[in-house]
Amino acid sequence: MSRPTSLQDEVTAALAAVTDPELDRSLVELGFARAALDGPGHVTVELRLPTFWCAPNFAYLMVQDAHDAVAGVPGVESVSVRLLDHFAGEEISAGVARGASFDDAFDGLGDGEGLDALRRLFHVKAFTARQEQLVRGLLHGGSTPADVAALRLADLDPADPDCREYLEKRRRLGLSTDPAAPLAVLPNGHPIPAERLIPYLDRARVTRISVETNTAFCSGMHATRYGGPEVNR
Amino acid sequence: MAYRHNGEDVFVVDSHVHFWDASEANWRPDARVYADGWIRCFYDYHKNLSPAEWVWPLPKYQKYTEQDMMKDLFEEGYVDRAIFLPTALKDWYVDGFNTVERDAVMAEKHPDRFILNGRWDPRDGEAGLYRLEEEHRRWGFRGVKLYTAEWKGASKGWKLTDDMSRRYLDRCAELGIVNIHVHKGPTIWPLNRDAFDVADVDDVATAYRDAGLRFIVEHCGLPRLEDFCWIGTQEPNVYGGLAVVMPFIHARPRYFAEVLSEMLWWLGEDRLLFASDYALWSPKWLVEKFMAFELPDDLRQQKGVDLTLEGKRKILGLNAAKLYDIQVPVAQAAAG
Repeated sequence: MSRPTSLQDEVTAALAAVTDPELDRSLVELGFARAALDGPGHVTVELRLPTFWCAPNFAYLMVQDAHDAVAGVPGVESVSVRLLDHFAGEEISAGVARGASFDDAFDGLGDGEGLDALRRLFHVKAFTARQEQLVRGLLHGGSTPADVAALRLADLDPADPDCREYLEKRRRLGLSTDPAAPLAVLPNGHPIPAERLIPYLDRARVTRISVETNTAFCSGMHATRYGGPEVNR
Repeated sequence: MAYRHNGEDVFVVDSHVHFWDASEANWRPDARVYADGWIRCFYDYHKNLSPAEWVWPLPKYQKYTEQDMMKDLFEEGYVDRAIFLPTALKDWYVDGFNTVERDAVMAEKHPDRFILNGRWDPRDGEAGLYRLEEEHRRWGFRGVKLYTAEWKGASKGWKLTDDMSRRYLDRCAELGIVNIHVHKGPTIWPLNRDAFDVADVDDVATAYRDAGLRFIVEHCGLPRLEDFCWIGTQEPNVYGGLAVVMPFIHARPRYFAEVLSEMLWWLGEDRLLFASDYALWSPKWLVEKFMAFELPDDLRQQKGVDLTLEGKRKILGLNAAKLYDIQVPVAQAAAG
């Protein structure tokens, strides 16, 4: 009796690890996605986004990531991800199902470069927002910019979930997670010197506010469209 | 009806309004799903961020009357002047959604109330340039609304930096159409790139600064607030239109405060324009809440910015009055 339940749990956990790239939040937590076992080894994922018009390239990333995450769960033999109530839902669902690239799925409308640059852009924003929050907290706690510039990853508290989340953003961006690596870095890995820290934080702060505001707005729109709770950071 | 503060009238320019027809009779038979999807999306915006007593039934929202608009803006909404920003969408709506022609009927009937803006689309080529000139000759535009995500046949969008876009911007500068309102997303060409990228605004703002063009980025670049702030701080001819940002004042006041404090810090109170985006939202409650609003202490201290009565007056009307050469009654021009 326990086996189907545990496979469902594993599938849900795998799906929960997939984020809305723009909002940097779990699709499950946002209420955008849910998975159901509807046959032996077969999973259907339904994705419902905040609007009919959510950008098709962002949606493609989510559908593709949801597909790959669930397909990687041992015991899952086939996955179909359905993007519902969306202007390009059928094209996107079918494109991902046949393993097409975004440019192939939207023939002639891309520039052939795919979605890698877009994905990286969102990873940079998510990293920037997390780092701003972390460093701002250190400054509030009494550290000076010079103190912060001297910190290494080893100085972080590994038990703190915010720190773990931050390290995960670094890893995803391909930045060093070596304990000896400097803490405050640009997305290209260059350390931020003490005298550049405050101007950096001024810019990073708007990135964080932007991510948070978009989250509040998208979550509110989703709740208006489908009912259900809104998510706050 | 004017908004009065301490016995003085406050001059209000609503810098972004629509007079749309999204009723079913106007849906193109081959585009019903998009025509319906468009207005339903607007309606969700409206429901999500409006106070409950301001939420309309869907049929009224699809097509409201001249009387509704005159009452909501001018009789009850404290607005002195309203600026039409057309959105054609002729691929989906038989007569278009909120066209220049439809707005013009209202503007010609109420010339002391409305300012009529034009629009163009570089994909219309030479014919579109000719039409812009013809329309300008008839209506004397001071501004245009550009919607880079508009579909046209197989195309899903365009950029301000396209060669043909520059031809149109050149022509705007020649004709004195100096206020370029830009709205991004959710699609753009190429479709795989960030649909809300505002980098092309940066390019043309620099290129056309000396020609006298001003670029009003609608919705302050949301969802790309950070890119917009960075452009705005470097380009003195870039302005932030507060449509969509304003209603956060009710539903998400903390986010409103955070976004506004960033706007004040990066752009300052001289380059922000109040807008209701009517009929997405209604100006009456937005003006009332904005006049009553104060920036929280922690944000004032962290950012070193403030929202004074003088700043509110500028944002509510005086900044837009400058851009559009609107005569402000002497008593209302006095700040404070």
